[in-house]
Amino acid sequence: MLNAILAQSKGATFWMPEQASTVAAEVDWMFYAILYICYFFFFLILVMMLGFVLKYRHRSGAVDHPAPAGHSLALEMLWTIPPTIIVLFIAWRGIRGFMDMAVIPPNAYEIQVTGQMWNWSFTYPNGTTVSELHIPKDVPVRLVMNSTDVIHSLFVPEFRSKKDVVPGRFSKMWFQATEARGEYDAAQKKWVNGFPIYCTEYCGTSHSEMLSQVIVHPTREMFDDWLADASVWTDKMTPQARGAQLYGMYCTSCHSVDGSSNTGPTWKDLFGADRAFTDGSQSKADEDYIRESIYYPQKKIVAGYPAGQMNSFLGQINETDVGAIIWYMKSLSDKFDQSNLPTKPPALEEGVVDEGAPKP
Amino acid sequence: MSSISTNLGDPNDGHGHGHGGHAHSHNPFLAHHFDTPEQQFTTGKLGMWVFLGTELLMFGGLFCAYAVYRHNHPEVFMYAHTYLDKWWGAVNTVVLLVSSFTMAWGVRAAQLGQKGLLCVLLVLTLLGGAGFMVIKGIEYKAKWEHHLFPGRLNVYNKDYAGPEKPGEAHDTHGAAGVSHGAAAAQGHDHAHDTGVAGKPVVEHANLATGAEAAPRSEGAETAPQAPKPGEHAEVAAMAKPVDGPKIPVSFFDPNSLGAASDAAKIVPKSGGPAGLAASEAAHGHAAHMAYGDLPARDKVRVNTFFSIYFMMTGLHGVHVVVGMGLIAWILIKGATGIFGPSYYTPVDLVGLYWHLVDLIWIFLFPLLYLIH
Amino acid sequence: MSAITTPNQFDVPAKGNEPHGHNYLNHSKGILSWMFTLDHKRIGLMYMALVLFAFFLGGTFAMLLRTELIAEGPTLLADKTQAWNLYNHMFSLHGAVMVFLFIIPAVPAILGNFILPMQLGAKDVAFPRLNLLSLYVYAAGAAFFLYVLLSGVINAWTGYTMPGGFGLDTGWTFYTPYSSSKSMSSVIPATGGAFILGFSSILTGVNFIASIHTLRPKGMGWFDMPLFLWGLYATSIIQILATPVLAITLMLLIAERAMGIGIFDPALGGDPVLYQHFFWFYSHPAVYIMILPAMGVISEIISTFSRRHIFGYTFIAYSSIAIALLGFLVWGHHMFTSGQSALTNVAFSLITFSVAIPSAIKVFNWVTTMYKGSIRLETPMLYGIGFIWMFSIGGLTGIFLAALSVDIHMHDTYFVVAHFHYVMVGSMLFAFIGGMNYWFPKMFGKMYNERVAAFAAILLFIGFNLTFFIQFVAGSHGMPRRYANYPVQFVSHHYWSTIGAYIMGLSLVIVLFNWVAALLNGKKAPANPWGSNTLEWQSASPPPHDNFPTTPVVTDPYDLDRWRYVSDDEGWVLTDEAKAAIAAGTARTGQLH
Repeated sequence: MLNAILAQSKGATFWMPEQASTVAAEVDWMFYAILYICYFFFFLILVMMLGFVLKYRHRSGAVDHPAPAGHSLALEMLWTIPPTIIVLFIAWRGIRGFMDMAVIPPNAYEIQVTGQMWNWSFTYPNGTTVSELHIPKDVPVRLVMNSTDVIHSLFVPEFRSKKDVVPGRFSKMWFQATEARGEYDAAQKKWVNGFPIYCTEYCGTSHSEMLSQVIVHPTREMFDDWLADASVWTDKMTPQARGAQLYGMYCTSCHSVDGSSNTGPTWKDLFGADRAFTDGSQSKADEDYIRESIYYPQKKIVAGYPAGQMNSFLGQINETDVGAIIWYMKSLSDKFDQSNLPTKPPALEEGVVDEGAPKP
Repeated sequence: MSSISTNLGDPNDGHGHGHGGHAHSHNPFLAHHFDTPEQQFTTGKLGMWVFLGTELLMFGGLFCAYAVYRHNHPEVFMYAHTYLDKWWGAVNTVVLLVSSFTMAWGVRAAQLGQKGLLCVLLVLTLLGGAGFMVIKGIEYKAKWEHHLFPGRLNVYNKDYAGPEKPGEAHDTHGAAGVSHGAAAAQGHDHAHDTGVAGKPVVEHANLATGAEAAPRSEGAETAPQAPKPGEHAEVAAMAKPVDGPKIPVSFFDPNSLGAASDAAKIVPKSGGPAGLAASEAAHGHAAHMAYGDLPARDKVRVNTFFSIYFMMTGLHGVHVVVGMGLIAWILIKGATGIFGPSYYTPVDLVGLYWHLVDLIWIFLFPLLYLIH
Repeated sequence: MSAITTPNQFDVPAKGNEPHGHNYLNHSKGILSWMFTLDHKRIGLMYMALVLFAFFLGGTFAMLLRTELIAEGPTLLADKTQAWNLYNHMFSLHGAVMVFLFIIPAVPAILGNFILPMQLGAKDVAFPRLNLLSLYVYAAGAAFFLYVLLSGVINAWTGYTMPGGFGLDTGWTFYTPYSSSKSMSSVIPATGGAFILGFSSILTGVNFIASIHTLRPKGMGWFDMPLFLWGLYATSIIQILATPVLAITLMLLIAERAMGIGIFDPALGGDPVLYQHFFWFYSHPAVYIMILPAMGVISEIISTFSRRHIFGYTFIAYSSIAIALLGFLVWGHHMFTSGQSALTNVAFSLITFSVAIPSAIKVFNWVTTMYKGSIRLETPMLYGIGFIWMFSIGGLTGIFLAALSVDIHMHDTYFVVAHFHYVMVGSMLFAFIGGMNYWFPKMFGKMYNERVAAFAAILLFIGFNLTFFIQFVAGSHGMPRRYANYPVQFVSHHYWSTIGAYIMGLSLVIVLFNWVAALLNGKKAPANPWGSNTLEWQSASPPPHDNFPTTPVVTDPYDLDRWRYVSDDEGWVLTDEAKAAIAAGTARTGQLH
């Protein structure tokens, strides 16, 4: 009967978001069990307290009751032993639920996660790195997580799952999605409506923008198709488009592309401009400078910006992608002749491939 | 401790029994809010014990950090502690124990109102404290010379920013070797780099200097910078005793370095890894943990050991200095002859404090110097 | 003590002042007589000035950060990054100032300093000089935080960075490695300030423990003490045992940031989770530093205004000690998601639940005390009832967070924010303001306007619940804490929360103005306006320099039948029976034994 009361709909309720993982039902059961226990005790205390206030309120002129010392071992035991039993029950059930979250199934699909101020990247077994988590429905997924700078924490409310991402060690979490979610918006050229991912450990200026989403593909096959598709971009888009995509994954929280101020310098008209650095030196923002700034950001700090803000992307963004980012920056700069921008995906240049290639 | 337990047992005892026995309004040392000198004394002593409890917990935090790192990285502690000179440590232990004894005797002298004896004993205690600090200073100086200060002044720190001392041959040698270790700890393959260069000895020395100049987290890739010719030659010359291209890690291991060349004793006396390795080999000890045996990622943790060492001994040193100030204060007071059977609380309390300082050292010495 | 043999010398003055009008306030004149005073009462008042100023600062930060959150997107500043930075600095300063400068010292340093010696029937605390020293140490620590604030303001206006950095954007928890290697803010001045404040806290703790052990008058055994003293005693234990660990932790953090010593920074071989262990080993017990004396205040208030002997005295007293000791064993529940081993999580979860039991004991005993009472809903009692409401919600929501599986979901969300605000603000602030109103007549010899005070109490209650209850709902839906911006689904939660915060702010301003008005032209307060039987009410209002002309006669502190009400002007006076009992030397009722 208790289970009947506490069985909640899978959709969002007043208290809890939608349930979308295998552990969510147990967490919600626990939550509502505690909630009703708390309602009981809270209203018990409230009714007694307000009842006594009303009933025993002093009225002017009335004679006070005598006030002997009150003590009752029986009463003390009454509000010591039953609460002890109740919390022991809650503790046991909470521990059981936690162990389900803590013990990772051996056959889980593994995805590497890197947390960095202020973005997430997810690396798949084939080496593909994306900024949004794509997983198949009904498949246990294990995340092996590391941070390149400070502590972050990956939180998916609908999965009831959360784990800190600590630099210097790998933390692991797992979940198995029970609901498919998210679709590809062809107009915006991006995935939308996934389950939100939050960073829940404070990590600096744009902590509140360290957001991402989980796209749950309905079947393993669809997930594999997506992964195959995501692994190759050279036949689908121009380098500057790929650069824009990478910008959205890694750079958007610190660098603007419209000239507005942010943690780091804006990219608008940056390529080819003269840069002055905090050590007094100067140079032109050419390809080498941009590559160096991505891989060794602390070597040259643009005057007016604090040191130590940007991390190296060495090992996260490969050379091809750095090239794509440079193309994107060229496309944003008035110092670069825009007619020189490539118009086709690299793989389609020089007529190497045209027939039978997947359309963008 | 007894004062606490009596108080817990029956709080009223402490001042109840003395009531009426003293004309307390005439006692110049009795504060207005106490009824009897006994109550005042008990209160003072209790307060001191409670304060010493907080002191213990303060050091407890450091002991805890020590325990965690030693448990997680015993090999690092095994290796790093060999830089410490256990003989100086032992001498300091004796010095502090003797000063604790003179302090305890001083309390007795104060109780008996023996002004002259009290002053002599307090001066002796002060000398003990000063001696301890001098010896500590000698040890610190050696650490400074070997670039083992905590933080960025420690050559094992990947962000090492300390001074280079090319004028002192063996020191530079040691530092160069160790800083190479720091660079290697970043996980870059110097062996490969230098092998290609074909001039291993010189290249290693370069790497060492380069690593110090390199900005953080960019490691060896940007590190090699052209050294000044003079420096180049000097370092190369110093490194010469070692012959032939070797695997850099073991080459720059201070132990093997010491085994190869007597000039490379990093730490004076037998406390140094070099000397230790030799002497342990001579004494047939079990294989000593060598720097090369440390996993690459643990090498940077040698810095952690010295951080803990300096935080612990430094905090303890601050306590010694504070204790010396307190002793000087009661020495001045005691010289006026105000201490006697009816009033010796300050001497007693300072004595308690001094014993605590002593006690903490008794724990620090084996934990830091005598790791096995 | 000679008073015991000649009790007739002592009679409670009917009117507030001593015959010659001398009290501790006019005992000596001039600013130096305050700055170098050893009188615990004056030290308490100086603490009050400083702590209330800190509360004002922390409250201002709270208003600013709630204003930033009133709508989605940047609100206070047009530029996004600047708005986020401002918010991050605001919440960090709000947390740090409120925790280190307000909630930890508020009840012990103000009310405790003033009331503890008086409830002991003593002339002062055990170590008056240490007491004064702790005040100045507090002021020095507060100066560091002012420096932090100033460095932030200067940087915002002129772009100049003062030595150490600017502002504070690490959160009050100073988590490494963000605080040690990333943050550009004044981490060293701020942690240095917290380090110094720790010593102020330790000195107060040492003083209170020694006072309670050795200054109790003849006839007052451990279980004859007012429960406020039990609360202070339990708090002092935590202060002296936990604070040094914080001190060493912050020292390591400072060394880490200044020198890069590599204890906590993984890039240097350190362990950031070790920092969390150290930090919470102090900071979880610190929660009980805040709440235990508050519980003591509530015990006094509930009993006095219900005209009932406190129910279950020994259980309340022991539960304070139990909470203090258990509080040392539960720090790991702040790190359920940090990656510590599952077994550690299980152990900490179990011990955490055990804290619920003594808390429940206290609440039920307070409520039972009201049974068959003669309840007067004067302002302190309104705060007392408000406290029970707040503490019930704050405590019960703690059960969600102790349950491992639920905590994984709730951890670091607004559910946690709401939970600890219900405990640390709702409960502690209600007890503090309630206690201030309760002892205000004793401290200043003036009565405040009862109607205004009651209105402010009700307004504060409404504002608080509006602000924080809705945060439970936002949190359980996944709203992470310390977010300068939020998804659209949380817009209405934040909007109403901010409105509630404004109501809270308004009510606190009313509380303050009411006190100031009372100081300026309040009615003269009688010695015992509420009919309490603890010893401080047996002195004049305000008390004389030495607290008591003669040592008062100790009785059961909750034997309220010894007092009868005369009039608003004269307050409560001893009954003829009580006077006769004093004269006959049989005054000690000893009902507790």
